[in-house]
Amino acid sequence: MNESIIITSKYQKKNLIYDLIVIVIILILVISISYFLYKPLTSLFIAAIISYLLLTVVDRIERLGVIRVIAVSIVFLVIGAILTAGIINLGPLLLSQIDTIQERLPQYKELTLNKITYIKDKLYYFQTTFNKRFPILGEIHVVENLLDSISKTATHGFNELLSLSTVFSVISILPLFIFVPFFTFFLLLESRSIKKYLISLVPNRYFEVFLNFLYRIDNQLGKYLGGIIIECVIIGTLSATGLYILNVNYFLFIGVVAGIVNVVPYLGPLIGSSLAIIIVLLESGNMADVFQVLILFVAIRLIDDLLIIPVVISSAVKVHPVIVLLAILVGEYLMGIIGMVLAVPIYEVTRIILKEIQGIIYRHHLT
Amino acid sequence: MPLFVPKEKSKELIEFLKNNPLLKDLTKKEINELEMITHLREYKNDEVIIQSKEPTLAIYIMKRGNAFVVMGSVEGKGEIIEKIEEGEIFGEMALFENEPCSVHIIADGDVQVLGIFKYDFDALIHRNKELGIKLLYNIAKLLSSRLMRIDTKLYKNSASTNQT
Repeated sequence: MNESIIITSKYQKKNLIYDLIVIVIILILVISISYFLYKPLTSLFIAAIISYLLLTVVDRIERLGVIRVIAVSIVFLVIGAILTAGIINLGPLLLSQIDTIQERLPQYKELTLNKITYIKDKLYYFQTTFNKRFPILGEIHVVENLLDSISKTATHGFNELLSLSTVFSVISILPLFIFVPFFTFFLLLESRSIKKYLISLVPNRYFEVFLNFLYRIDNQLGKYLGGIIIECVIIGTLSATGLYILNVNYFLFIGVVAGIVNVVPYLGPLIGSSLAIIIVLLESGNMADVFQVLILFVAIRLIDDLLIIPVVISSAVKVHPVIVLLAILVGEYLMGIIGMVLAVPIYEVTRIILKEIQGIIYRHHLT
Repeated sequence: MPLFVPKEKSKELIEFLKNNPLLKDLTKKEINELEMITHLREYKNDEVIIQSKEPTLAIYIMKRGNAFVVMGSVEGKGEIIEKIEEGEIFGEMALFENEPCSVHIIADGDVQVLGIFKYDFDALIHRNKELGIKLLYNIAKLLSSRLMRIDTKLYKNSASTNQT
């Protein structure tokens, strides 16, 4: 066979520009839908993350020869049973702790402001003495300015917390309890056809590139998300148990919060431990108690850094701390708490997309 | 009631895979597993399915139509060295080599191919060892028959050069 044929490259410069525009439009659409509609779509987002995490389990059960609907139902029943057992055993205690904290918030606010005024008076006295001794330095108002801004921030913070406690009321969370399981069930059931459908939309020239892109995201994010959830559960349990042993009030509430905020890298652990210390300061005011709590959180941090992270998330996403913090700040600015949680995964997906495009441009000298 | 891919389409794929001579010793369950990672693609006449020097990431089965195996540089004239016919597997090198493909595969007329991603295939044969042995054995048989064909071709070529 010695016939010849003209070989037209898969990747042409004109196609590439068109494709880049399409990719940018799709990205803008996805980002703007998530940004503008994230409140009504929250349950779908949460369901997507949960079903993504449960996918491996469902697939494994299905491979044993079970029909997918039954496999999904089995997973739902098991998780439902675990959650019910957890809620029955710990739910009432957690709710009563949250109720007490909500009731005492105005009292805490007053206490904090009193303490600030006390410190302010002390420092003001110190400043006047200082100015009398060194009149050459003139009038320095550092202390007043600093403490004024601190007390303003504290007042603002407490007001925010008071309004937050209404946001987290049963009425606003109730739809999530209905919609999240509903969406999760159907996403798990249809996951394969959703994936196949998405792949079928991709032009032929990007078929293999897109499959590779999905594989890389799955490989990195799957480990990252799964790892972080396991990390949160361990941190939450350790914090709650430690605080219970130290006899700290609201140990379960602090443990749950410390576990949840742990999804935000770097800032999460800081917020969790600060919350515990502030509550101990306001409740007992005893510095020895504060010190004990501080040691507990340092120990948990060490366990996390030396044991949990290397074992659970070691091979997952490795991003420079500066970029992680920047991503979290931008995420917080755009989408609030959800943005902070999703910052690193979104950064990672964007990086993989850009890397794939860069690979094509480089291999085919399209620049 | 699936939202995205109609059931008939996946039934049709299963039927095709079942009748493929390379997959004939697979059980119904194994065919179903293979179908789960199979993607149906349609290519137009002269469209490049696999481009040489590109990393090969998928193995393909020709579902409908034919394709040419072409050697030559992109955006130039290439020489057709082989033809791929309905039911044949191509791109199987992707499974064993991390090297880019050395030839182009170009659609001859409008064709339908089934693409299976390399790592999905890898995961499948590691997960289901029995199915893995069957698939790899069949691919090895295919490769050895191709090697025999090339040997004969080379022998004929060298014989004709010796004569002249």
